[in-house]
Amino acid sequence: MGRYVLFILFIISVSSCQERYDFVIVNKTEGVVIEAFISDKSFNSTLSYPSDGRYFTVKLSKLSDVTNEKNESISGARVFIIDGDGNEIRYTENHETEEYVLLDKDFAAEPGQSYKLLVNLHSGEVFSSDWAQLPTSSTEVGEVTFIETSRDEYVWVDTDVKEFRSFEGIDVSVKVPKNTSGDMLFYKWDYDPYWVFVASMLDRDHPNKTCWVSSPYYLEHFNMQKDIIGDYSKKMFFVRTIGNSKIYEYFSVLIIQTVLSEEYYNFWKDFNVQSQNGGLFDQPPFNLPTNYSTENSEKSVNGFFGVVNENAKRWVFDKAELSYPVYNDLLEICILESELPGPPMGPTPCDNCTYAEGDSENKPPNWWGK
Amino acid sequence: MNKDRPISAFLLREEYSVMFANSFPKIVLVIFFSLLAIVVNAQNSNYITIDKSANGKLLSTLVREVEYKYDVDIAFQDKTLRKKRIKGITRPMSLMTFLKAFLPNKYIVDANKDMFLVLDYRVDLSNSIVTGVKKNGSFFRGRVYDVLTGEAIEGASIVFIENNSGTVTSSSGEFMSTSSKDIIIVDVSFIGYNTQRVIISSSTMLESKVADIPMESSSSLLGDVLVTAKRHDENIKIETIGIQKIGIATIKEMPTFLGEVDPIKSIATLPGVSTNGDLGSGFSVRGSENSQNLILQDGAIIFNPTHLFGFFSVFNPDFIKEISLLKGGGPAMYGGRVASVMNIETSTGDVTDFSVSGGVGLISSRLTLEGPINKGKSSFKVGGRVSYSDWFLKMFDDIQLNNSSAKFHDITASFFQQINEKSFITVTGYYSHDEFKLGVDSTFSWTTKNISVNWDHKYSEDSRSRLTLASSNYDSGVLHDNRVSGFDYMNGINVLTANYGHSFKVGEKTTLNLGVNNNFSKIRPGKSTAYNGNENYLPIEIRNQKTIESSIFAQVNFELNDRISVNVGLRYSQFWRLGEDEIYSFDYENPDGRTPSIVDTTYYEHNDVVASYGGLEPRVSVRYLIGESASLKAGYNKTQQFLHQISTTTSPTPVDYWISSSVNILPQRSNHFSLGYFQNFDDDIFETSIEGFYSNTDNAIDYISGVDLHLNPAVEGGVIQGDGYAYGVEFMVKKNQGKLNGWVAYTYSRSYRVMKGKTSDFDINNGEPYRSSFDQPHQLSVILNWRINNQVVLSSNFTYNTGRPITIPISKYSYGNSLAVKNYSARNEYRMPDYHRLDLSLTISSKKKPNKKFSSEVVVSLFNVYARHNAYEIYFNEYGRGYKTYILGSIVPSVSYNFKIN
Repeated sequence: MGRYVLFILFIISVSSCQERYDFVIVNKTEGVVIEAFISDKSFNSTLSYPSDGRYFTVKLSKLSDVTNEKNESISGARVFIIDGDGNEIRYTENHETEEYVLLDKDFAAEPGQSYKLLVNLHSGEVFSSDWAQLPTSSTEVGEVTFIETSRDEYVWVDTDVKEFRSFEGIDVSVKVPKNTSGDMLFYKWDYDPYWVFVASMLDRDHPNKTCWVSSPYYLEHFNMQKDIIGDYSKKMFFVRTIGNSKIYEYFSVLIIQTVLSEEYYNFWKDFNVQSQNGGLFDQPPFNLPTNYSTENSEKSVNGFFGVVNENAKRWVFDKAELSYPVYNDLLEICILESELPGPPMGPTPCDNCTYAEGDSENKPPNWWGK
Repeated sequence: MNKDRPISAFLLREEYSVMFANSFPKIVLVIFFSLLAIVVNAQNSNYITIDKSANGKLLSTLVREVEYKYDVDIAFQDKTLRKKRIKGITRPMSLMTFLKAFLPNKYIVDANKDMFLVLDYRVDLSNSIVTGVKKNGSFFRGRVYDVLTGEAIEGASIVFIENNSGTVTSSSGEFMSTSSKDIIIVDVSFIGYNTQRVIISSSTMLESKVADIPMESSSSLLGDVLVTAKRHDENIKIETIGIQKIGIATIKEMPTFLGEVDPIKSIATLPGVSTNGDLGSGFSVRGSENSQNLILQDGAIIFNPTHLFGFFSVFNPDFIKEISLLKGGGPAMYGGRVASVMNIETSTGDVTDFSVSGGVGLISSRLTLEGPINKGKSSFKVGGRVSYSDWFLKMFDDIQLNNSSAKFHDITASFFQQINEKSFITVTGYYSHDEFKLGVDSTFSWTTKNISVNWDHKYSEDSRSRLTLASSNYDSGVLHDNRVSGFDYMNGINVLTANYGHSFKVGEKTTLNLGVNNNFSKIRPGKSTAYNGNENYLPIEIRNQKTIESSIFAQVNFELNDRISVNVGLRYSQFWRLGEDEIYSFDYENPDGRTPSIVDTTYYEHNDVVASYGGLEPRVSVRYLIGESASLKAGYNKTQQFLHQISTTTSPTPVDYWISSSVNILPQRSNHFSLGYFQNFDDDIFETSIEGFYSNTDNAIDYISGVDLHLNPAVEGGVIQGDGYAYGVEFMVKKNQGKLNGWVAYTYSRSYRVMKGKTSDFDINNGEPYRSSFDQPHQLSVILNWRINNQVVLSSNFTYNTGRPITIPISKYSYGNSLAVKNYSARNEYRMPDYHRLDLSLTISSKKKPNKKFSSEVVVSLFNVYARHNAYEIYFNEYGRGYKTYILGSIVPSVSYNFKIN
């Protein structure tokens, strides 16, 4: 028997295969997803981070089958934030972004006040959250520091081949404030990076020479920490320094530090776990908790309404603080690319900064220079 | 005498002949391969005459002439008699008359019309068996076996009448004796069997070196010849319900995957037993978890019975003598698991001859060597299997395959020593190791290292004992050899066992078994260290656990009357968990996320008692005979389990770990009720049975939704205990004999859990009953063997199981930066696709011939004949979409070659 035949015999025997398998879902129930939070920082307050400001929004969508590609948003609902005194503030639907926006630029959650979110669908079905209050403690974002380090990663260099490489970079940390309250604090940190990208092949005066770029997919993770003592540095994220075009001109990260209720913290903790599963040691499957309920609908409701203390700090990276120089190699790369044989590749970040990776604008954000 | 007559056997009474003719196939086989057993009966031998022409001849010459002329066999106990010269014959006379006159001090026995024995002394030969054998020098060799099952009887007493000396049979049922005589007479006895007198005669005409000695169970002897004619209906007569036995011969006949004989897959064809599909560690009995089944090999515990994630069984087929599955926990001598006991007996080496056996398959090969160390007294047997799948993978220019690895090897070795005529000792060692690597980074490995010593001693004909000392060790781990996130994870369990059992026969119909069991366990729930100094990984070690489990038991079998037989047992088990240890106290009212919060830690010093539990475990089974071929049986077993296996994953894997009962984890306790009706037809050619069962388990284990069980020091807080219950009915129709034989087994069963947490936050499925992971309502197995001729057997196996319950994402939603947060169904609300598979195999054996020292067989198998893609697991991607992972994507042909050299 030839080697090939033996091989086939073995492979069909021991190699596992996969094929799509769709379960027939019985007693399928419709569901509503409500994604919302409010904080003690109003739109106007967030301008001073500095940022272009953050409105409180509510995203309403329907549960979808696992076979669907996209979620379907819910339009035509009336959405309110209600406080313990019975005050109602209504969100305004933005059809473009498919969100409901609280347009009151000065609204912020107040300490000691209770809030709930009320969603009244066009069909008359009503969903509301539990009452929630701001956590009793609010802490400023501590000192942001970094240390030079290197991170080892495997890099795919071919379809089936990955190589081990070490990348120079920095670990950015935030000092967790000293906690003297005696209460457990539940921290969550989100990141909003911003950088400047320069199209190296363009003249200095070209309108697409310089762009201001943000991306929801860079530093998209969040960090969490339960703390009862504070006064230590917590590592937040890693930024590559060599070969990372994001830091060549300007790089900053708006570090948003929120203090959550324990329940809201646990929701995000579960969220993190579920989004990272897929390995051998996965936990038994579970659903995320919710603090929404309904009294007149058969639909399930998902999501967690949070009321959080929020503080933020824009950390601007100064590459001069590195012990080694960072060389801007974009021009060299662009020249090499332009000399590649074959037809022109069309617009590239080399000759148009708006093609840079991320949401790239050729004008600075409003907070720029503040 | 017809020298070419087939080897045959005849029993003393005519009824026995009837019984043999219609008995279990193994018996037919055994008889087929046996030499000669002739009933001593009173036939008229006067037709053999001699005259004066015999005068002057040597007796040996005369005997040869008579044997040739009359087609008879004449044996002399004292072979020197053959040298006597004949004289004094004056007229024609019968041979018997002459011999009585010529040898006045000898006793001439007319065994039957073609067998005469000349004995040195008078013995009572009623109810005796005469059997012939080819004497090997001065050695006589015999094999004692159960006439009903054909299985060897270990520890049977052999008393040589001539000098009143004795010996006991080895685990292969064999004994050996040296004698200058050509005939020896022995009394063979064993508790539960009728004492059998056997005359073993040396014959130069025979080829077999082993005299076969069938034994009959005394419990089925009702003193009535007519009834005894049916007493080989073991399935009818045995008192205990829920016992399934399967011999290695049956296992070997079944179709194999890649030529590997697999006892686990074979056991799964019996009613009430299922596996996890094409892969999986272990098996489920009547809806049990894998870990609720105790697997013993010669007294040592096997914690993972599978190689290569379940592709193959860890048991070397060359060593297996018999596998017994005791559903519901079995007699009182067994304990420690709540669902079943799978008892594997291995065979020891031949005490007289060397032999080599082995097999060559596509994935692995095996070789076994056995033989005497001190002939008739001690023997060895050592065998191993090694896979070459890893080498196979490396042959190809494929990076994925080159980076993968799948290999195993195992070694089994046994040593048998007869200490004296009343004692023998058997030592069995077992080592197996697996490595499984699919992909680049992670290598799974698991190792079993067992050794057991069994010392059997006979105090008298009615009293014997067995002392078992065993060490059972299981280690498993994952090596993630990634320089970025690499780690080395391992867990394990070590159990030292000391068991002593003593059986007494009290009167004719009562047997008493007393004993103690002790297990000393050291559990290593998990330890993980950074791989290669990787600083990104934080080492974790879960504290080891130390336990002692001591039990005392008594079991009595007795017959109330001709119809009713009772088996009553009582076991008391006491369990201690000992320090040094740290035990958490949990607050369920104020949980920490998904798990209860830790509110206190209690430290226990070395050997402090952390927790102790004890309880009685009564075992009762009753058999009521309905006529001659039917019986009704009922049974009740209470069992306890103090060690629990934690499965960190959605599918059981070899790296699942064990934890001990503690303050927070209570022992599992199960009550098992069963009722069965057994009916045989057509002289036991057909066996039928229907068994119903119900079991409920207190403190069954499940897990809090979302709990992280991997290397979690607070794992006890992630475990939820509640009620488990299962019920079902099992049907079996079996044809024992004939060219076409086999069985059909169908089981309808359900298995549920009810898990109510200490607060409603921890309820599973709102505290309502839900299907356990092993709830498979319909299980069907059809095994058919068609013996085309003595060399060729065509076998088929069809298996159908309802798909296992599974928890699936039923919807999803986008939230935050996640495109798909999954909403899961209730626990085990859905099912995997049904499992079914057809396998075929053709076994072609070499022709068995006298004097042939080499035998072989070729096994051609077709596994998964209609190429069904049976699901091993359903995998859900990050968007919740399901993908069925199947192991066997097509029909799997294989050829294996097995051989034996005597």
